[in-house]
Amino acid sequence: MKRQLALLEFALGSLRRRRGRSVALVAALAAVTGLYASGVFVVDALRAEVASTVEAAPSLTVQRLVAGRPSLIDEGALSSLASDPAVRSVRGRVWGFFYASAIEANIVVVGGLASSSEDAAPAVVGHGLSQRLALHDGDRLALGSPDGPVRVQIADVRPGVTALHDTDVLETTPEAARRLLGVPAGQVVDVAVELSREEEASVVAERAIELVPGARVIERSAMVRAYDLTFDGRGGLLNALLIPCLAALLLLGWERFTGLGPEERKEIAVLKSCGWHTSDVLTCRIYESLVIALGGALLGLLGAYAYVFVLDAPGLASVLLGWSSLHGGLHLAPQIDAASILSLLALVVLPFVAIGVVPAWRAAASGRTS
Amino acid sequence: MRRLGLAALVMLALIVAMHVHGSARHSAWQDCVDERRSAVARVGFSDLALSSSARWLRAPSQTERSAPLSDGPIAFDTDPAGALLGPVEEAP
Amino acid sequence: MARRSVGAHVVIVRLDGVSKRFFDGRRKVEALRDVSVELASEETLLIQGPSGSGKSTLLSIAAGLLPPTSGDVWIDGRSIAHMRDHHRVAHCRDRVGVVRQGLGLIDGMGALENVLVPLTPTGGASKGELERAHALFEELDIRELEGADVRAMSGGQRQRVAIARALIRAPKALLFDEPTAHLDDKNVLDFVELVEGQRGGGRAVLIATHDPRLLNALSGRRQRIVAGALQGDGGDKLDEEGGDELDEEGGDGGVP
Repeated sequence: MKRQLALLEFALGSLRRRRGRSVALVAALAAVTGLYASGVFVVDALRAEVASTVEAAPSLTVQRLVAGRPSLIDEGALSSLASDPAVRSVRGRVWGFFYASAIEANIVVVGGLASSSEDAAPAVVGHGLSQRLALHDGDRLALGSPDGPVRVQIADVRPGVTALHDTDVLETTPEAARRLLGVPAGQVVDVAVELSREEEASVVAERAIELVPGARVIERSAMVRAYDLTFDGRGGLLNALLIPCLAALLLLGWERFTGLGPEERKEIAVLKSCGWHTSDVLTCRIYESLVIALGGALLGLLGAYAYVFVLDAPGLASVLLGWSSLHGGLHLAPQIDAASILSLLALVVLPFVAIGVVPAWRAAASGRTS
Repeated sequence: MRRLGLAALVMLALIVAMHVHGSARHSAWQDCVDERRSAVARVGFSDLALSSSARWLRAPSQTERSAPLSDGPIAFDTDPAGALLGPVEEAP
Repeated sequence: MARRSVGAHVVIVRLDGVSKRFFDGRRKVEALRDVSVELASEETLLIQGPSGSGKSTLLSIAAGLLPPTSGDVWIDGRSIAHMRDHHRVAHCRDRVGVVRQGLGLIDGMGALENVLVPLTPTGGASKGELERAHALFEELDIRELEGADVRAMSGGQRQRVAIARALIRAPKALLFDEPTAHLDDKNVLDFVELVEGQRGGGRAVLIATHDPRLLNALSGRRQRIVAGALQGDGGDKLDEEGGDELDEEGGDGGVP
């Protein structure tokens, strides 16, 4: 133990003597680790967001495809499914995207509220939409449609905690939604089927396809997978951009260690002539690399955490999630566990220690003592 | 050595702070899970409101099969011809 | 093997038919050829020879820093030629102190820190070792330089620090490689006084040099080395002819 502490102290002295390079390496490592970790934190948090709420999505969603694209379905096309013992409910849905030119954004219109005979249909808006249009309870809104303006009155504004799911949603009566989206009476956009027995999903799906030839049935698990693919792709793209940074960093580290400038070679020769064994020199070298790598990696991790979960990832959010005038910031919840931290650290620390040790071993084992 | 010890202590303190902050935020998030689930039930799909710049990006799980981003993740733009890899084969 | 004695003195370092061959990437170089030499306590041995004659290699082998290609090396009564690296280093560092050409001090480090470097692999300086370090600084008349960065010191001062470092483990033998290469005449005399003091204290001293000032000022046994082979006793003092020979030789082609 005493020997290890003495060697560690010597290693720290070495780093102090090369202060400039040590600081530069720590900073570079921190930057690369921080960027990579930020991407991982955001993607993991988003995946967890979907995974925690997907159970509330319909067991099956049935779309009718025409020319490969979703089209409208007759409202009663799947009503006979309701008699199936595995099916709890069958509900035709009117929903879609409405382009609001005033704010240059797509609003998701959902006809989920109870019908109303009021002049202005009630509406519940998402947090982002309410902020963008400065809407409050009681405000009235007129939205243009093919059949003329559709008036709605704000009955409620959704809270910020659900923003990731409904920030761009305007929920209103089915009638108002039909007028806004141009969906004629008697037709729906898709059908949501809730199952009482999830294991019957494929059987019910086959029945749905028999009832609506050419239908596409989206199971709940497919939703999660589609999402994973989106984020694997985008997250992967971000990491691909980091590869040149990591490569540059490793090259810098390699140059630092293999270049083993004349000063460092001389120092190793001096140590050997002072009675240091090759293993002592290597131990010192490992400690130097460990201090730099661990220091840089931990700083990067802490920086990434603060950037994503305290500052809400300005800049990165747009890159990973797309830009929109409706979306405020990210407000993600950390999904970090010890395993992911350790694997992130290992990714940085292990190669760095390896590239530090190999050239030192070669120099120390060369037998030069002057 | 003393300086390393001090730096290690500061780092440890920051890690503890990170853990405390993270746990608190995670708990708060879990506490709201019912509210978020009801939002999903109202909207009807679990896709997150992450981009409304093009319809298929808002609801990748709902879009037509040929749209690149739901099945062809290695697509740099929204034109299906721009994908580097073909769509993933669905398991039967 | 029982320690050998030469007269009343104990042999500390003995090389027995030692050869050392290196491969420099292109050809084999024979740095030492069948060298046999002894160094006893309270003795000063001067190995004189031009650059590249193998002095430094002989010194490294005598200090246990390099194993010989053939032959045997005895340090303080134990053969080290076939010892494993680790054991050889451990055995020799307590018994032989080395001051290399160029001194090998670590710039950016204080004088005391430099002196304590040999103790790091064994857990750093104990209380007793720290006291010995202070005593060495006192003895070498550089007490006030303990905390100073070695970069700021003169050649003579740096040499004293290097000597203190070589003495920190109280070795039985002290080896010097071209100790006066960059010293002025006054410092050479100071060095001579120091060496005499060490020898008087019972230490064996070996100096590899081709500096005529040192060869003239120091008394002690001499041997000449040329192209890796020792050539027998060179006499007590350097004669005029020998000096010219030394000045004319000089070339390289050897190995450190």
